[in-house]
Amino acid sequence: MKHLWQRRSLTWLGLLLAFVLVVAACGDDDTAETTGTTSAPAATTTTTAAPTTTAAAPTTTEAAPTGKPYGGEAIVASDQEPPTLNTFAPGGDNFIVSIVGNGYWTGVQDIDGFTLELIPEVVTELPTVANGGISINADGTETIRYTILDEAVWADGTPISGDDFEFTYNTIMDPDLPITRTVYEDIDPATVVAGPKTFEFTLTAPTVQAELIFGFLIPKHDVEGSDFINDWNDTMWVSGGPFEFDQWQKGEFIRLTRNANYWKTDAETGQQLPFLDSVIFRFIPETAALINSFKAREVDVINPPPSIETIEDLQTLESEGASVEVLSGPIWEHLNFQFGDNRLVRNAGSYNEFLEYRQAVAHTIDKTKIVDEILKGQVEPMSSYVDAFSPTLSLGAWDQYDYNPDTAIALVADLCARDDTDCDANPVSTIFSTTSNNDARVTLSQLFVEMFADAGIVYENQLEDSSLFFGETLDFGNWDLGEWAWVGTPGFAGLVSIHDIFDPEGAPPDGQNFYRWGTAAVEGADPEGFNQGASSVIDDNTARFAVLRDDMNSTVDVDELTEIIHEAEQILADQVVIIPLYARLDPGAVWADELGGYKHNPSQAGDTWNIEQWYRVDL
Amino acid sequence: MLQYVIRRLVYGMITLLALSIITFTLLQNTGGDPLDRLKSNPRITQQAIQEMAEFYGLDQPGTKQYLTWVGNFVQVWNYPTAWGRSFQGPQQVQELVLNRLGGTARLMFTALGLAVMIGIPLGIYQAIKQYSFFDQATTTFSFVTFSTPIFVLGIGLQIILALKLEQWTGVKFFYTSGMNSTSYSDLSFGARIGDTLQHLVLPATSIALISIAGYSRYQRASMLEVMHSDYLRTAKAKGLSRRSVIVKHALRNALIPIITLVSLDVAGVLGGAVITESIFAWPGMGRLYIQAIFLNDWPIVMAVVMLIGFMVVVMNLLADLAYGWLDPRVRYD
Repeated sequence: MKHLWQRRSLTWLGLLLAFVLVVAACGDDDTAETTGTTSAPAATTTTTAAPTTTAAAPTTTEAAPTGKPYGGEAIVASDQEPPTLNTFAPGGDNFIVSIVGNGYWTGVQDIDGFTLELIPEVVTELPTVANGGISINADGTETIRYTILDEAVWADGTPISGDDFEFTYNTIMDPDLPITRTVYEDIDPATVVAGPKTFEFTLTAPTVQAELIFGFLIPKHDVEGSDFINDWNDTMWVSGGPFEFDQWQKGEFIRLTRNANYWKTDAETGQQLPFLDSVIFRFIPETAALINSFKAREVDVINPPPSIETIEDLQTLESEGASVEVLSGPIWEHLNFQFGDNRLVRNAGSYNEFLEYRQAVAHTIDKTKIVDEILKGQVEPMSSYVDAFSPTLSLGAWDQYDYNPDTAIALVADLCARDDTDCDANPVSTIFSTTSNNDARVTLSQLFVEMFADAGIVYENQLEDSSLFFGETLDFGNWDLGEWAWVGTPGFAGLVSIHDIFDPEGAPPDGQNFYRWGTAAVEGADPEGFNQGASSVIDDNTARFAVLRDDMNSTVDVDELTEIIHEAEQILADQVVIIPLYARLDPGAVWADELGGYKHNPSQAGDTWNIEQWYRVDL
Repeated sequence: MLQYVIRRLVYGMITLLALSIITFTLLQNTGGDPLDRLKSNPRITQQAIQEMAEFYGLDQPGTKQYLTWVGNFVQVWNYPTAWGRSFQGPQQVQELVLNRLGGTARLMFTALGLAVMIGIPLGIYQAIKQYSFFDQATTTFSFVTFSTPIFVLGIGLQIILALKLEQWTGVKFFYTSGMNSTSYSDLSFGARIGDTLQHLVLPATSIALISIAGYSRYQRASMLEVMHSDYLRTAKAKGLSRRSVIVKHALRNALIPIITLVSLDVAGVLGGAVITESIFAWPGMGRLYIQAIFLNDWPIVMAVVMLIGFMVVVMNLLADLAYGWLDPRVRYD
């Protein structure tokens, strides 16, 4: 009887277990799902079976005799999910939005993954003064002309035209939409001329920033009359890129399918692009799970977080067919000094206004040791912030500050010998602040303890949670010696705009010179924390830099611009306004024995910059 | 009884209102700004950040922001705009949160179901077989799983049952991530069940293992207490069969304490499993919730907290009502 009861119990338990699992399995797939609104034209390759999540399951094989094979699917894994598909909407500036968008967007320019330079996409060439695409008018205005590729069409066959450029411009300038209008607002609306395959406009003043505008075009015939902010978050307008939006399973994946009307051909084989039938973007937020998915070959491509342990773990897979590329990314870390009043809130004895002190700090920092400890020597330390934008333009102006504690000690002695200092009453000291929830920065702060001790500078770490540091601390300049990162953008536009953060005429809250180098007093700002006296450093250098900054923002001649940028770089280095440290690592990994054509791109374009050229090598 | 239920519901509403005020105040004073991330981009001007603040209503005083939020939040029928927009993009919070409920329910109810169906009988059996080899072995197993962090458990299951098992056998039994395959909608009914189980087993097992350990220990203790009570000794002395003593007299009373535990766990289901959902890339509330916290996206945080609060109020009420059903001594006056 006892055994019978046990057997029955076990039977019932088993049945209940099975019931729960089946109920769970049979439930409707009730996460949000959005599917593309535009139907795909007939493709040159035919999908004969449903793709599967395992990467090695191509659906069709149709190869040109000597070309690359058509068909199949690639799965790209990301630790983030787009908050929207609309790059113009709030949240649309998120990196993952571009990573996915590279599949279906088109625009004037792209960033080449090999050279990290701007290249034309939908236009015949990028406009310059030399090729006549840019002209400076007698009244000081700048006219820009685009010639659109004849073969460029949207996925539904509609030619991409000047009307689409004009519609894009009008949408961005719509005052009811929360869209960043930088540069676009300098276009004189009366000068906009749209032709079937041309677009022309005039800016009220010359600016190199114009090289980055119209990077994303909006198809007038598909979007006109819709609610731009609310209608295009979960679905996408007709594609101008190699793939079309197909499905977004919220929290899980986005699927793109081949755009059969894509106009580009492979430069090597002359085959029509793209090669793949579909691309899936899977969202796996946890790093360990992301790596395990890659190891299990459930995904083909990953951009893992730049941790050394992760990179070394992935590199062990190279013998099994994976390819792991580690490059310097666009995010560059830098040490900086606060010149505003609130440096004294953090460190009452701050010596930031004295050049000897800043030079001493520059000689105190052993960048090689920092890179070896934090990045295991995978990249070189930075010798200039220009390295993060256009390395070929860099003067390496910070190379003048080699790691030399003796020089640092001598400079501190010079500082203390000045008539306006009293190092006995106020010893030379540094209080270092950065974010405490970033392991690399915590390591950095630990390394600094010994370095500053060697230079005879009293040193203290005061790290903060990033929400506080990037909130009140950054806004009000409540630090002495600080450290955080900026993001570099290839091309002159990015390089010019980074100089805004040193603009002596740009004190917060209106400007972005958080360092308050050379800034005037701020009064009447809200909240009150912004209100402070004039910068502790206002001199000929800050005045000259302000002129240079204005000049570079109104110059489009490349040679002239290079000269101005060089002078600005030299001033910032000579005056030790900041100390560039290193660019964060940017790894990319692919199963190269399954997927060809992939080239890791550490810039904002991301690894999907040439997604149309990816192909399955295992077909 | 009805009067009691109504009174409890009124208290519940007051509790929820207090919860919303406390949570909102805390979120407003954490020192972060939802738009902070924009500041690291030198190409985004202060003017653009200001326009974004106006778009989200962040330029308004905190009190006004709360009153606007609470006024809209209670109008749940105004789908999908009632709960405002997420600060991460223009998406509506109500849509985002409700879309994740299905995923969370699938994972958490499966895990909870497994935990209840295995943990409670296990605890009962352990009590019946007190100090036996089975009791000792399962007790040790419970302690080990209960003290293992779920992160370790989840990643361990991924490595052993998804990665290694496939390497050893050449057959893919389980997936490391996601709720379904991307081709799910194209699969047959049978294949869908298989696909769902292949994705569900590892995350559900991770959660269930820990819950089973907890439930079994709790149930064992409760059962032992009842089994040593006088009325059970009397029942045995009256000559009732062992089965009758255990099932009719001991079990019913031993289940009462565990009702509180289960009801609170059911209430917590809506919050999802933050770590498990992240490890297995499961599209649930926990993942949404933790991302929102990190990004100072308080409309999402508030919505999830209020849903959990609502469930706690309701489940507590149901638990109290269940006490009355299980224990005739309990009366609602």
